[in-house]
Amino acid sequence: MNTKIIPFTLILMLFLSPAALLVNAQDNETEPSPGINGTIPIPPLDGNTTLTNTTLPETNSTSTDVNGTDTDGEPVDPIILALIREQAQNREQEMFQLFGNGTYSPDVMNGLMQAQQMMEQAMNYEGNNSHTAAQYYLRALKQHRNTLRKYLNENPGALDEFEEDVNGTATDDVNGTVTETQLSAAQTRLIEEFEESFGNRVAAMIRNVDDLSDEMDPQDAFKAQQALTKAEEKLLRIQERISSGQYEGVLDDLENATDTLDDDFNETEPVTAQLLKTMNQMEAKIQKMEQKALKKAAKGRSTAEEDALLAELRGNKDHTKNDYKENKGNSGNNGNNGNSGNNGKPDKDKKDKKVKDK
Amino acid sequence: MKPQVLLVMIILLFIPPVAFAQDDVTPTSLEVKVYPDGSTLVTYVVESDPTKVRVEVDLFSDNFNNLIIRDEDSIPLASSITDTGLEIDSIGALELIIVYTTSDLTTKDGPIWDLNITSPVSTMVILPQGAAIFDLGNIPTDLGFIDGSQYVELPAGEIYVSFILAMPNLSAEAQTAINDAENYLTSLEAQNYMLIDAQSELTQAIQLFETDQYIDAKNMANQAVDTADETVDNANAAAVEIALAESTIASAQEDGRTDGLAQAEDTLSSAETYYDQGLYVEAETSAKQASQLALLADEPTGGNTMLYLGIVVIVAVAGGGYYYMQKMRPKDAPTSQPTPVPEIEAKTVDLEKIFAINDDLRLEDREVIKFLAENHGEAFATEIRDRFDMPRSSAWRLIRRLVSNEIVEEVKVGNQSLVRISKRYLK
Repeated sequence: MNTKIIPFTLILMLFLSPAALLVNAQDNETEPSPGINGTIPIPPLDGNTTLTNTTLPETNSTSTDVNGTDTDGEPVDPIILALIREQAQNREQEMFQLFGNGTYSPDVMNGLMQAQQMMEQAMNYEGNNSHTAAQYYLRALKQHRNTLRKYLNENPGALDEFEEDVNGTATDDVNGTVTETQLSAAQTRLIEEFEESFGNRVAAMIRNVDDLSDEMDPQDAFKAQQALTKAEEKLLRIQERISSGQYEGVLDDLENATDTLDDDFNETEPVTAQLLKTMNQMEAKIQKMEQKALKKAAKGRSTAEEDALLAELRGNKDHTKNDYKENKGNSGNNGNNGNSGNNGKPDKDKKDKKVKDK
Repeated sequence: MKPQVLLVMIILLFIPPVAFAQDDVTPTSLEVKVYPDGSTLVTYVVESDPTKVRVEVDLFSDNFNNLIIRDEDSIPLASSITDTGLEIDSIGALELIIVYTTSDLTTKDGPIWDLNITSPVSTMVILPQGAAIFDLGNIPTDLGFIDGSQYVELPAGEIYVSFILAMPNLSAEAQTAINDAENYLTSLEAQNYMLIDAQSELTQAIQLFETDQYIDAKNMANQAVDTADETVDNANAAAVEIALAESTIASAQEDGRTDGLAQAEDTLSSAETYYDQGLYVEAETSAKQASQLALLADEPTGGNTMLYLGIVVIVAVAGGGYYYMQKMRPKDAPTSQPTPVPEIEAKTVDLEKIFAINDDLRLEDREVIKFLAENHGEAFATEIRDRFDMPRSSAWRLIRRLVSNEIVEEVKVGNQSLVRISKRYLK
């Protein structure tokens, strides 16, 4: 009996685990949900609620020890925390200004008090648990929103105070349009470049397979060579059509050629298949970067950035090949998957730098 | 159950569900710019497999417009919508920059807007200028301003931002309303109107403001303006009735209908007293009563001889009195003649010049200027109000605008305000 219950429970939990995300998405029960939002619902507080019993439910990644210090919640950058605090304080000030000393229901009063308590809690946590402090500030914000909703429901006339300038729509900021002619011209150019690059890549892959043939299973090496030869033949036919200006259906044929190559690589053992696909991607990236460097050089611009990325990509490629060789040499077919782990992607730091330089 | 199988299942349990599992693309960044009408401009950047000719990408909404996809070299790429998402002819692209607009990401409840997206990457949300954040689905990784607009960067997952386009600055709005009301009431009082109720309401507005009741303060200040308008209307109506009563009494006297006229005169005197006290409604009522009494006055029963004798005596006394006054008056004493209305020279108004220099004039301002031009460059404020059927406060604000722009000058003529085009705009 027990042997059946455990797997059944695990399977059930497996299916239910995505729903855990939705549990947090529910809003305060007293307010209509604004939609899925990953925040934790605010526990309803009665009139006797005090500062000490206003606590966050233990449903998030943060938990605090008895001293209130971070245990597993990521500390929040002090600058970000200060900005969140500023938002919460601004809303608090605006809410008090909006309501003034006017009369409002106990519900609204309670809402304001809860928000105030959360603000105080947040401030208490700021010194030793920035994550919890930030969460309390966010909850104070949410509480203000809910209180405002209540207030507006009770005082529909106050809606007039929210005069909105609704001038401005996203369409205003759309940068230009692309005509069918422009798309077609761009596509033709890209097809020609891709066809050429695909040819070069197949040639490079043939060299790579040759280089690794000693480590590969002979059958896999043969399958890989065959796949590449087949791709070469397909490319020749595509090339002929492009040369004669027959572009119709070329894109479909190119897609078929690339997909078939991947499928054929998959016919080899998984480790080799992964290696071949990774190498194929790396070669594509290297070619792209080479083209980019050439174009920049032709314009007389510095190619230092591209050169550095190329060196890195080539290094990654060699590393992947060496890994494969070593693992195959050490443990036969039980080596790693031939992937250096970065899938030919440059280091993130360098990529970030590239983005910033842009 | 085999321990290995159990182990695999336990490991599977801890692997989070992967959204946007698209083999050929890797999301890099997502930016959602929100506009005041709730529409959004989405900029989604993904890394693409350069060995692929076509890749599939999931967008964040079912409905979208203005879709433009470019590769890393800004070359436009074609795409088509499929059952599962968007199929892009990437043709070896390393990076795809997908830009589109949609209104599917936001919802509104009262003044509160909500933005919801499920994003596979850290997402930057840029809010409209002046927007105030009211809730965030998660602790932001960044928060700040871009070109005066608040932005917030949230980690991957359920992105939720609640905001209000503009929180009312109630304190400033109430203060402005009070200032406007004060100025307006002062301008009316300068025309000798007594605004008892309006002043009382203005005082209440100030008291409400001082106790931070801004909405009520603003409403009360606006009410003071309305009450002032109403009071002025009542005052004008009372003045008309008093003048009518005076005329009716004079007619009765001329006709010799003096029997009961003293009562009419007393009632008229009460009306005038009420008027001086600012009790315009009472003044109007009394004046009407005085007119009525004067109309009902009858000839005295004592015979015509006494009447004629009386008239002769009155005329003689009045004539003697007038002669005496003329005789006794110092020669350089100021006359009590009404202030003459300064005459405007017969010139035409240079409308082109006015509109060229003041190209930001409102439509109604332009119409009033044209009206003045048609009236040889001047008109009484009441004429403007009547012509354009506008409330007194609106007319007052309009004239203030034109005066502050030095397009017109305002001249007081008795209780009336004469508006005339500035000399610089006369040809």
